[in-house]
Parts: sequence; structure tokens; C-alpha cells
Amino acid sequence: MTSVLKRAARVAFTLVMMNYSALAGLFSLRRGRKVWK
Amino acid sequence: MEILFWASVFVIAYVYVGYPALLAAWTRLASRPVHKTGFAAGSWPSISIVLAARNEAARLPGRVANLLDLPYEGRREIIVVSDGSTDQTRAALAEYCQRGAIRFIEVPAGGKPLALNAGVAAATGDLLVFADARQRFRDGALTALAANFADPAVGGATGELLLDCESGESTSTIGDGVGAYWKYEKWLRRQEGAIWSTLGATGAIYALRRSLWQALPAETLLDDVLAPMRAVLSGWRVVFEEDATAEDRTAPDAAVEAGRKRRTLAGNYQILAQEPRLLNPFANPVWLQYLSHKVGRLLVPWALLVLFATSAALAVSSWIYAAAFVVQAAFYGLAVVGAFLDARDRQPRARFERELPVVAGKEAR
Repeated sequence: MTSVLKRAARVAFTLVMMNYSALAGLFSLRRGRKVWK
Repeated sequence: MEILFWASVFVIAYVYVGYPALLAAWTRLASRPVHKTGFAAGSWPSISIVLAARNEAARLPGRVANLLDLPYEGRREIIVVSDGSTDQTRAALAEYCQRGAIRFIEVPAGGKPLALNAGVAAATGDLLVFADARQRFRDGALTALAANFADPAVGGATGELLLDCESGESTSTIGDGVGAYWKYEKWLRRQEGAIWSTLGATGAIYALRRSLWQALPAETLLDDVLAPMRAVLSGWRVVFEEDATAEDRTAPDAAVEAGRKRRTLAGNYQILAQEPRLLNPFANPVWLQYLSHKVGRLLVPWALLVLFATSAALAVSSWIYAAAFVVQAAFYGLAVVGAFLDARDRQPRARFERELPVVAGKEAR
């Protein structure tokens, strides 16, 4: 796999992870889970 | 179904392309420079540096040395608040306490917001400067932050957090993505500050007039958004100061970064309940920016889900929807490969923590 493709894959994964963390954050808040510390 | 598809396209395109384009045009047409006329010798505002930490004995001596070494013409005090630390924090700072270099306050473990409240209650400076244990300020950071307060409209100033991944020096498995995102995010903040005000601050390095501080509720997740935005809602300006910099390292892998993002985004939901005025265009002077930037980020994940589902359902009806589905499938496929690379290259967490223990309380950013 070329380095460009690897880099694109890492960036795509990071973007997906960051966006879906927003959903996880909402559910954490709703369940009253500690989301820090 | 088609309406849902196009609505989600609109949300994603507006948040990531339309809003930045609007900001670029807005700053070009109506940017409002900060009047940093400077302070005469002997008249620089006094500052209180407030640092809340839990179990940071290993890092605090170096961090305090960094804060003491920074050049600044005005009077400074350093207040370290230990939030229920159970390590050797007190002993680690004993030398600094004995020679009166810092004020050390111990409070029962109650979380970062309460620790900050205790630190601010003890502060006497004109300006509060907030810092975390892990980062280091570069020379000139204090002076650059304080210079903004010569402008009577400025209530707060946020510095710039530089991550090692931005210069390609990080070993993080997600350094490429985080670096690109963080540069983009800072560009937005820079434009927002130039127009009128940023929508919060960087917790690792920001300053606020002490008179504007309001005690934080104990459950606050984003103290570095709530405190500055309260100032903005009161008519003050919070600006982005790129000459005030703090250095930090990138999260080592996706799991750590996901935890940070979960906190941040949960905080973005929470703050809407804490300060409903943020959604009121008559109360919030940066309402459009807040809606476009902060609320937009909360909507995008939902829009992405809707876009994927609707384009899959509509793919057979038109080549446009089919193409949209293929592009998304390729993107998510690429993300799966990225997840594999992240898992493959992830360092054992124990090794990373020896190099960079996680800061107590909320992470910077």
C-alpha cells in the first residue's frame, strides 16, 4: 500500500472516529456516565 | 427521502465548506483589529496563573519552573490547586512553596471546575491565566496574552496550542488526521476572533479579566468554553492570540483521542443546557458563528448517518444517489483500513504513559 493511501486511510479513520465520538458523547451524557477524569 | 438526503448534504457542506467560506469573506470585509497599543513600563496588568491538577507530582516542578521562567513585566502569581491528589504533589512543590514562588492550595477531589473556582477565589491579579500541567508555554506567551487587554473591548484572549503532529514530529497513529483537523480548527478560531470573538478558548492557555469570572458549576465539562462564552454573552470580546503558544503532544492513538472528543462533544451538548442564551440571536453576539461552528459539529454525525442511509435507499433510483453511495462506501472502506493501521501501530499504553502521563482533569483543547 502506498504511503499516500495509508495517509488517506488514517485521515479518513480519524474523521470518522471524531464524528462518531459526538454521538458517543451524547449517549454518555444522557446515561450520566463520567466522561472525564 | 430525497429531502432528507439533500438536507444532510446541505448540513455537511455548510459546516465544512460553506461556513469557512463565509468566515473568509467576512474577515476580508469586516475584520476588527485588536488595539494592542501596549502598556507603559510599570503599568502591565498583574496576572494570576491558575493551574489545577490531580496527581501530577512528576510534572509539576518542571511546569512551575517553565511558568516562572517566562518573561513578563508585570506582577505575576502562580496558584497551583491540587484536586484531591494522592501522590507526592505537595512534596514535589515544597521547595517552590517555601521560597514563596507559588501559592499551593489543596482541595478535596471535586473535579477541575471546583479546583479552578478555588484557585480563582485566591487570585489577586487583574488577569487570570489558565494553564494545565502537561503543556509548556513558549517565551513571550504571557506578554502576548496580556497585550490584548489594552483594548477595552477585550475580555479574554486564547493562545495557540501547538501539537507535535502539526510539524510531523509525532509518533501518534492518528497524527495525520488530528494535525489536519487541528490546523483547520485553529484557522476557524482565528477568523472568528478577527470578526469579533472566538467561541471559547484553549484550556491549556488562555487569559480572562478576573472581574469576568463566574464560579463554574461542579459538573462543567468545558470550563474553557463556558467561562469565555459567559464573557462574550456579557458583550466582551475573546480574541485569538497566535503569539501566545503552548506546546503539547498528540494523543497516541484513536482510543485516547476518541475519549477526548467524547468529553468535548458531550460538553458541547451540556453547555447548551447551562447557557441557553447561546442559542438566542438577541442575546449571543456570535450567534451565527456559534450555530455554524459548535452546533453544526453536533449535527454533522447525524447528517452523515442520514446521508449514508438515504443514498443507499435511493441508489437504484438515480445515478446521483448511486454515486453518493459509492463515494461514501469508499470513504468508510478507507476508514476501516485506517482503523486497522491504528490497531497495528498502536504502542503499548504503559510505554506512552511513562513518556506522557495523562493530565488530571480535562485534556487541553
